[in-house]
Amino acid sequence: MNSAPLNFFDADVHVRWDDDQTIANRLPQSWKERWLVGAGHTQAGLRINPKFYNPREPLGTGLPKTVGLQGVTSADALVHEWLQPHGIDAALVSVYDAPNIATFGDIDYPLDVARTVNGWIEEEWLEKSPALYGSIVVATQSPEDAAKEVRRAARHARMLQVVLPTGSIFPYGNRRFYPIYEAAQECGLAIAIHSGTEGMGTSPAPTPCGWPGTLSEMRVTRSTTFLGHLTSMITEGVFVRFPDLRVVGLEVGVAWLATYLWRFDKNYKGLRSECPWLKELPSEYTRRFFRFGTQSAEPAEPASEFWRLMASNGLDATLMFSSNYPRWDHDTPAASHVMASAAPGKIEALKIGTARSTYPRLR
Amino acid sequence: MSNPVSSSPIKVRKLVPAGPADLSVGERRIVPVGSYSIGVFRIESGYYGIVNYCPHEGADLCKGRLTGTTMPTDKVSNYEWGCEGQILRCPWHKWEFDLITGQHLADPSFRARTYRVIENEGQLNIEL
Repeated sequence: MNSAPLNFFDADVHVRWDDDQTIANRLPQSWKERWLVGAGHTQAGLRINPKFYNPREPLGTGLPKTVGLQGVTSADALVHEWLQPHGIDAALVSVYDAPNIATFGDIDYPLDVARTVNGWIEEEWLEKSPALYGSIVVATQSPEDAAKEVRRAARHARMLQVVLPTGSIFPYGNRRFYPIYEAAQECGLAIAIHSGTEGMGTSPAPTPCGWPGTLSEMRVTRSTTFLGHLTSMITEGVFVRFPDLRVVGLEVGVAWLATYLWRFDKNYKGLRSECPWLKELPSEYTRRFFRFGTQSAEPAEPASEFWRLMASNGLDATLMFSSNYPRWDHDTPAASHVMASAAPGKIEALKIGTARSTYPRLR
Repeated sequence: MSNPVSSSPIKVRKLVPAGPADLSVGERRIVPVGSYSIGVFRIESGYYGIVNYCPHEGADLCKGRLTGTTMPTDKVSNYEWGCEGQILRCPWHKWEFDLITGQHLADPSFRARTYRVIENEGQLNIEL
């Protein structure tokens, strides 16, 4: 375990292999060709369609031997080029596009890819630096198998969470996902829901009103997909059934949530009879069970308005620093408007306090 | 059927006549009291009074549906019907109130005022 002091935690850093052969070498023989080449409707690697044209995407991303800015490619580089220069003590890493596998139509390939990616995270990151913590990716198509993989991967003490993509065939309050939550709670893991895969693979259209024409529209409306999951998880009783579970929203924004909770509470007051297991207002469940990374928090002018909105619903204590490094839209601690505008008394929570209350294994 | 009446006259406050005690179970009568009104309901366990004003936005609460509800539970997906005929749902936003306590079921910070209804010699009186 990490014996160095832990005072500053980065809750969202992306890592990746620099050559798809790295993963191919770890996959069962049956999947190697599919991983590297794909054929017809069968997609290779983690690639998934339809995919929006992204003017910021580096040329060649998705092809073997390229990585672009999807992720850092070595633990050494992450420690020396990101953590140390910014005074960050530890980071929670995930493969940005690995949750894509949860939206493939088949089951066996995603299950094996998940197991392989989790093994790679453990060996190439967690075992290379005690400053790094890991995310477990799962194939949600088969929740029972996914739960087995959660329990297997959780044997490494620095695995902190299970990461799910926002784009999903069902909202995450649906009881089909219980085996995953049961395994996560049992192992002391949080659930992270990271934006991505909206409208891709088996996911429904990326906005509630259908298909947008541009990446710009999809990015802005991403919060609506997450709010569907939050609403579903609270209403359908995930936190009644799994009271030790914590859920982290990454790259989903947060300022919108303050006013949304006014609406959520209002509707609950008239519709309680549909969810008689709830004991408190939805805003209470949100404050207690949800956390949010700072990187996608909406900048306000003046910045004090952001904090006023957060405080109006007690959401200010749900925030924790996340950089999204090294994606093109990442935040350095100095550039983060949340970190820059937070009252001095909130900095400790942003840097480490909220993380400790989120990840049982970090306590 | 009658509600217990306190034997101590000191505890009896102002009484407002609320008509004959001829309501069937499930029936109600709305009684004007000065600038407001009170609903008198007959349910299995007796007569109960509740203010005809929803603490949410002021709707005529007593014009709402008298029904049962899914009982509060600790178990997800446990839909157990109970309190049949004892839950008053506001006609505007369908908030649920326990007719006997006046308590809003979803948010304990809301409560509709309730009144004791006394039956005496075939006549009903609301105790203010």
